[in-house]
Amino acid sequence: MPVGIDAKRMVLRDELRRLILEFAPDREAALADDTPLITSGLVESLTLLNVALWVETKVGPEVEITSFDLVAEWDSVSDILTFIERHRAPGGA
Amino acid sequence: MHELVRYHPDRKEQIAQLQRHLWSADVALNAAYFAWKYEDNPFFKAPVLQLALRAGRVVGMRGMFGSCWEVGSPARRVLVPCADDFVIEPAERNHGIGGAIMRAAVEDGALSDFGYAFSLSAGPVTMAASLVAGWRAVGSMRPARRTSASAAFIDRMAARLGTTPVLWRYAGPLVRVHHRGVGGPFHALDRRARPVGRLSSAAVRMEATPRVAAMAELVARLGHDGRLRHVRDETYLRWRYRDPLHEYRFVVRGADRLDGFLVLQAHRTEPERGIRIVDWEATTPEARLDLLRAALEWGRFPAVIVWTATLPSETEGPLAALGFVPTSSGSRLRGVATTLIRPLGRAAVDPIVEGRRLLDLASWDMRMVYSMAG
Repeated sequence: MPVGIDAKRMVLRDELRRLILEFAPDREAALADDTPLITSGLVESLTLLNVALWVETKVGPEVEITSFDLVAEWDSVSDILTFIERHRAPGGA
Repeated sequence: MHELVRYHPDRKEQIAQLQRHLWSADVALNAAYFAWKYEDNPFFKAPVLQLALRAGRVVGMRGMFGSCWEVGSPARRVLVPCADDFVIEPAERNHGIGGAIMRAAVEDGALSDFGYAFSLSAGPVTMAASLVAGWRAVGSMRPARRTSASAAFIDRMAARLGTTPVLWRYAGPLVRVHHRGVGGPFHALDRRARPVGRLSSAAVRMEATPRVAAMAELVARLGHDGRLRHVRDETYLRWRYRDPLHEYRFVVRGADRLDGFLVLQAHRTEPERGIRIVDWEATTPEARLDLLRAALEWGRFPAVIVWTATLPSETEGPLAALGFVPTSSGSRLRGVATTLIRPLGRAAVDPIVEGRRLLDLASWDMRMVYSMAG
């Protein structure tokens, strides 16, 4: 992976971790990049919505969470970052 | 650890307390709403609820209220459980209770005779939680909102106050007071409503109580195109408009025999949610517009919301001309009201009833009143 893309991913990773931990501050130690988020219940309802709104700011309002399997695509920090990379418009924030 | 249990009447008081996070801050009002929705429901004999307990205390809930639909030509009636009232106490969120209660709600033995359940007005939070629990989206109800110039000004002021030290606490009350008005959200409507000759040759007037027999007769007379819709007979309408959490006004056209009605709703304790058009029927497009124009002219409401997804196409232009704009502009997630379906047991994941595919929005004739948003 080119260095620039890797650095962008790290910035997004830190943002996403901060967002999740805002709603679950006692889970910092347990939150690795591959920690199950949805299937473990670490991210549910309101937090999940906030993650969705955050993803929307990264990929644009075209993200339609009813059109794919959230559990399959967003069950870890790493999965979400990959989703963003796959859907982000060229030159997006 | 939490445990999941089915509803028992001993928990009613605790449910009313828990629902301060969703229904209203008034516990007595919540208790009345619970009794109306789950105990007096005309389609389910007993409440169907899943509760999450921690140390014996109710910290989460998911309910299923009964509903009766008609679909096809000739119409066939079907009873359907409708999921609603999903709430987890704030301190208990993100500990797996939400997912567990969502799963338990659809596995409740009381639902074993049903092939599918509906969720009729899922907001963004419930929608997100539902999608990960196997619910499938039919589509957004495409809410549209008309905001008066004064309400837009107040909203801007409140937004500014909301980011100002000390003064932020006045932002919410400012909006609430504006929406409530001096004598309540329907004060202007109640005062101004009178027969309006110039709107059309037929008198339009406002009534505070529903004429359920005349409304049901109009619905029956207008007929049914076979799309899925809630049964609106006298029994249902009489029950539906006794909802204690909301108050209603009925703008009607015609005399003993109606040729149109438009039903307006306001939340009793949170008027800032806006006035909602929850049902709207008429014999002609002209009669339909007369009702809306009269309601807006008399009511002078700060905000009016209507679901547009299945309205007749001829209403689109007039709604836009009257200032209604989609609430979800700029985001697919904010301001949504989504209808969802969950197959139960071993039912097909893409149910078809009387030749209508339920996951297709074109199969539905949705009104806000069918859901508890209305």
